[in-house]
Amino acid sequence: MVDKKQNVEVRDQKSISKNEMQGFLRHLSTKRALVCPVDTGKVIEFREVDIALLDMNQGSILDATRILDDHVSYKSIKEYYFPQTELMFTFENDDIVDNKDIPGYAIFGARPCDLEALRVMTAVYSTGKYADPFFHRRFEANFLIGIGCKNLKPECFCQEMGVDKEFSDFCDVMLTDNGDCYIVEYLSEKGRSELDGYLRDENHPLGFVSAQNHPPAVAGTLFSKRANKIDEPSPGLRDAENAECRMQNAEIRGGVTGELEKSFALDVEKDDTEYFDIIDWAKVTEMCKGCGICTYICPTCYCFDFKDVSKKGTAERYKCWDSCMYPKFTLHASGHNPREHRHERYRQRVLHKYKYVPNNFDGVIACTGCGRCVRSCPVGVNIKDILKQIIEKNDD
Amino acid sequence: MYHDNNPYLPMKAKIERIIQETSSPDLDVKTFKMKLLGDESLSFLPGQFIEFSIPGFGECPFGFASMLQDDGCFDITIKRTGKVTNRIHALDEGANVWIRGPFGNTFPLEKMEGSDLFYVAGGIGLAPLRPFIQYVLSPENRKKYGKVNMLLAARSSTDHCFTYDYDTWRTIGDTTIQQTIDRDEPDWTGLVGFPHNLIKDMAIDLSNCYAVLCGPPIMIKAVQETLTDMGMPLDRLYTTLEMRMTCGVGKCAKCNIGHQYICVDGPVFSMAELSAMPNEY
Ligand SMILES: Cc1cc2nc3c(=O)[nH]c(=O)nc-3n(C[C@H](O)[C@H](O)[C@H](O)COP(=O)(O)OP(=O)(O)OC[C@H]3O[C@@H](n4cnc5c(N)ncnc54)[C@H](O)[C@@H]3O)c2cc1C
Ligand code: SF4
Ligand code: SF4
Ligand code: FES
Repeated sequence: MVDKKQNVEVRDQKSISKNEMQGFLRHLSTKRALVCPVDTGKVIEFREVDIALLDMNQGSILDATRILDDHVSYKSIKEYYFPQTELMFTFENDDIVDNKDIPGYAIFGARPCDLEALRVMTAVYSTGKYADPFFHRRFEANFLIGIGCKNLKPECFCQEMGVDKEFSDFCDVMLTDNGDCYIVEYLSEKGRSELDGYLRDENHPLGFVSAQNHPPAVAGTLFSKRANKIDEPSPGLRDAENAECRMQNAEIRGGVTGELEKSFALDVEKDDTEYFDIIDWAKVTEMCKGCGICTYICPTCYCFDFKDVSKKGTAERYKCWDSCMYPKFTLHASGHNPREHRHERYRQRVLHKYKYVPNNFDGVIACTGCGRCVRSCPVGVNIKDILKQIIEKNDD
Repeated sequence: MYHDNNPYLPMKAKIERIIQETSSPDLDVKTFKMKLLGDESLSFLPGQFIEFSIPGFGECPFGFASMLQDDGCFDITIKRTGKVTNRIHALDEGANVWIRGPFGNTFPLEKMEGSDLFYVAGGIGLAPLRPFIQYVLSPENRKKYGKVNMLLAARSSTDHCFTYDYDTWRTIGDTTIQQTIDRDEPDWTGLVGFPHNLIKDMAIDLSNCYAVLCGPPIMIKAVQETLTDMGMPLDRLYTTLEMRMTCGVGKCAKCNIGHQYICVDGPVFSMAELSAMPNEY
């Protein structure tokens, strides 16, 4: 799914009724731990869901999770590819043991902004002379199902970053909401092989469970907390062509395939120095507390540090999230710090995303406009406004 | 050469010998002569660096302080400054440690062929230049380069590193070494004063010369200004940078200056390249 052209060849459409989600997710969870958006009481987050336990208690996945909502989670799915702390290896008896025990997750419901953020991480971590093996191993192990957003949420600016809110091909399978069903598109061989097997009905002439075998979904009831004692015996995908979904699908998406114009791009041809003092960074970050939340919740922020932990006779080395908003990030042993002031660190955050990564990785911008940093900043620092100022100055 | 293509996994090495270079209370420098254990071999060029691990304590970058020797050994010269370097200084000869590398770019050895070379080093700044000097002064390469001049600065007479090399280097044709200290001392026969104040009087022909500078940032800046005043173009001045690093392979995003990553695009830069980079180092 890395290569775009390849994706198009694999793309293929089916549809699945919203009534059939429990069976669908149960199937996904047979090979990997299932991760869905859930309501933690405070925020919506991607968490592991134990569907066997849910089944045992006759619970409904629609009650237990927020899979059908049009939402944007507080944090992104980043941690399933780049965990906050990850064991890399252990020094043991004068030897070293690489940690290859990487769990695979089936992640359901990632949004286009987060899928495109994974494209950024893949560019950074997997290209060049060296690849980050831990990201790569997780990338291989995970199964990723995306869902398009119907609406922009407050502070979302994906469209300005060239991200189609309804579609991204950087996943194994993409779902598009179509009322009582989702249109299902395979975008990788993994997507096809792992779902086709499950969906195929050997007795059916088309090889797929047909629409008629399933009770039509009643949209209103799907979102209600009560009407969800669904335990369908043979859930499956419908052939999208039969279900008229394909046409509607094109209509819903307006033919857009993730190739929007990036109206917030900086000019990579220019020297870095031309952007360095383009605006008054101290003024625009006057309120910044340096808390680093903006970097932790950002789906593209990929900086890390190594940390050692000693245990009796052994030592473990971990790869941990780090943040350019902290002064220690660049502090030398001598006490010298190239980015001593908060506004210098914020400038790094912005220019790294919009200038340096595009320079180094073929125009890929390390921001997908998910709006999280704007939503979560305790003092209202707004990267979108700051970008607008830079672009206005740049055009002068 | 990496196990399972994992550039974060270090390889085991053994410390064969330890040399105390200087031991002023605030400048404690040791050279560790070490070699890789096992079948793996190291192949590197002047300017590159390794990441040096002490399990449980952490990992730090250090430049190679010598070329690879016939016995497979190479030198790493380390100033004691903090957590990991304290721990490294406490090691004994024979100890096993972990390293990964080589990382980073190299001095432009080929581009400099046919030119004179002027090395200006401050304190431990001579360490990353030493493999370069060894390379140029080696019998195979000496003819490829012109005159070699060195101005080696230290705060006091006991703070000069690699003094055991100087006599050997001096015996190689067309090579001069001047040592300087910040303040005069009894019995001192070398120069006195900061390098940038001495260069003009050294009567070095800079017309077909590359200058290579390494030392504290303030020294590099002052020397660069003097050499520029004396007519040297910025693309004939080279230095090697230090930024805080974690991965060493362009992934952790810690060491950038503008869009350049010091661990992969550096650590060696010309002053012309540096002048096009944001002043954030
Ligand atoms: C390319 C390169 C080559 C270097 N070559 C040498 C050399 O030949 N000899 C030498 O003595 N020193 C060299 N240094 C500097 C050396 O890496 C630091 O002095 C050392 O990391 C300090 O670690 P510490 O744990 O003792 O200090 P602490 O202050 O306790 O540092 C803790 C951690 O901070 C990081 N860190 C702190 N300062 C630096 C720094 N300047 N660069 C990178 N990481 C840092 C390290 O990860 C270290 O583990 C070099 C640095 C770079 C980037
Ligand atoms: S979240 Fe806001 S206050 Fe915190 S570091 Fe980011 S910009 Fe500064
Ligand atoms: S910088 Fe802000 S808007 Fe852009 S991807 Fe990161 S969190 Fe989202
Ligand atoms: S040290 Fe990690 S990017 Fe340079």
